Amino acid sequence: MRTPTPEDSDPTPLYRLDMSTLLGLVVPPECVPGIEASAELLRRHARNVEAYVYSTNADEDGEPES
Amino acid sequence: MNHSASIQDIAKAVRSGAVKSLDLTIATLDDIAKRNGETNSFTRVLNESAIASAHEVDRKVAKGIDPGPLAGVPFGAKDLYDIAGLPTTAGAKMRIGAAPAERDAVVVARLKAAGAVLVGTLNMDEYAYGFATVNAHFGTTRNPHDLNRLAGGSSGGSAAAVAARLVPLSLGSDTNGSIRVPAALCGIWGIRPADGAISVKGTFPFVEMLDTVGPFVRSAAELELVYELLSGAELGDSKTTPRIARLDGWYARNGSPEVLDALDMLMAHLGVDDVAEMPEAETARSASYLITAAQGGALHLDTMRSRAMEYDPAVRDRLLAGAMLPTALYLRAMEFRNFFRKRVKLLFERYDILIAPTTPVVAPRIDQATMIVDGQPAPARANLGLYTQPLSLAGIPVASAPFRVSSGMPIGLQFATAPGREAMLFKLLRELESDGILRTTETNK
Repeated sequence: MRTPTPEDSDPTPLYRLDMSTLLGLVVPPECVPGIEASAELLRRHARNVEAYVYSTNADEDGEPES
Repeated sequence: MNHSASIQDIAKAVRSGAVKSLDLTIATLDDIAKRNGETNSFTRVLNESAIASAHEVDRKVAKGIDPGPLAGVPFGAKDLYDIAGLPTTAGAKMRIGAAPAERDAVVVARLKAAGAVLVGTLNMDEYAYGFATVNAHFGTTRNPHDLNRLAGGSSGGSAAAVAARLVPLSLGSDTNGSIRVPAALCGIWGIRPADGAISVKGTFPFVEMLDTVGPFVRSAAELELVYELLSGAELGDSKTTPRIARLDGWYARNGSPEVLDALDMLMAHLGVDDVAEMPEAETARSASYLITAAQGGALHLDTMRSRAMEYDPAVRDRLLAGAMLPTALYLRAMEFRNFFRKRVKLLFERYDILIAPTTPVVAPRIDQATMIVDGQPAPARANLGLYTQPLSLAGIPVASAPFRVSSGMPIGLQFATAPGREAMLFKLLRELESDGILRTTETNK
């Protein structure tokens, strides 16, 4: 399924849940590229954290806390 | 008494009556007025209150009352410390008109109680979100060793003021490396304390889980003295020979040859070839990055709803992106943090002190946009914290000390220890300074 965009004539419920709208954050369009660049850095770091495989044999506390 | 004197020498001279605190304070204020324009370290100079404090110190000496171990020592505080009667700007233009603080931050009060004289506030990245001290409203703080280069951040004004000998002591804060990075780039000494070791009460928060405060000075003995005063700890002299290792893996990646050579020379001097692995360091940096963005974004959410365009644009973009970070990712980073802290604790069962570079490179030029990270161009300013961010997540005490440099830009090295082993850390730093392998980098002036 392709990602819905603001140009869609019939936005999906997912698009309606756009986080900036939900949080009440409104900025002029010229700010979007800078925010996107910051978000891209966050995505890279998120992938690192998501990809980390916890060691199960390094120590008895090798599992993350719940 | 000139600006080369140590904190201990200044206090000794003032306590004995050989030097008047007032004379020293006036000379310091005059010097700041004359030279601050070079580095843009100070944002506010507190002439009247500094002179009043100096009078009080001299009055005590005249009456035979000991003004304290920092008698007459001029100091500056990063712009995020509460100072009674002044708005706490946190480097933000929108806070210039904020209500004045009712009382001094705890550590400012402790320094004043020890006889030190507050002479001004110091520049920083807006809301402490940066490693550069490039501030859209208050200007860029320049490195005293080369005015075309960054002083580092976010406590860049604090580091540059001490490196330029405007003051012998300053206060900064360290969330992801904001004391260690500028200390390294400016060739001086700084320490991030263990979580909770020094009170952050009365400072403008950034990421409460990671925020710490600490000093900048010009020698190991001064660092220990001020650390003891700020923390209230009495460290004593450690009798234990520390088990030392060099951090490898992540800490050997991306370091410039001059930085890695400095570390090689230090380890050879110590006669230590132990290498400690911290395979989680890269992930720890990423987790720290996510936690910072999410908590920073949440802290500023209300203000950003109505005043987003009043922020420094670079800071605004990071905070807005952080505010929209999905909770699942934030929780995953927090989960990793708990795991990582246990792993670091295990590492300190084998070692007492771990050594690594503070920054991968020497101070970048102010106009330098990128540096090479893993073979690819990456934003230079964001990556100055490459080596400091993982250790922040561990919550352990970490000092940045200047490696001896006879020419060129300063190089800083991190010395990390476990909470409770600070005495061992300071003893090692004093010994290495005495051996001449660690030494404050002098400016050419």
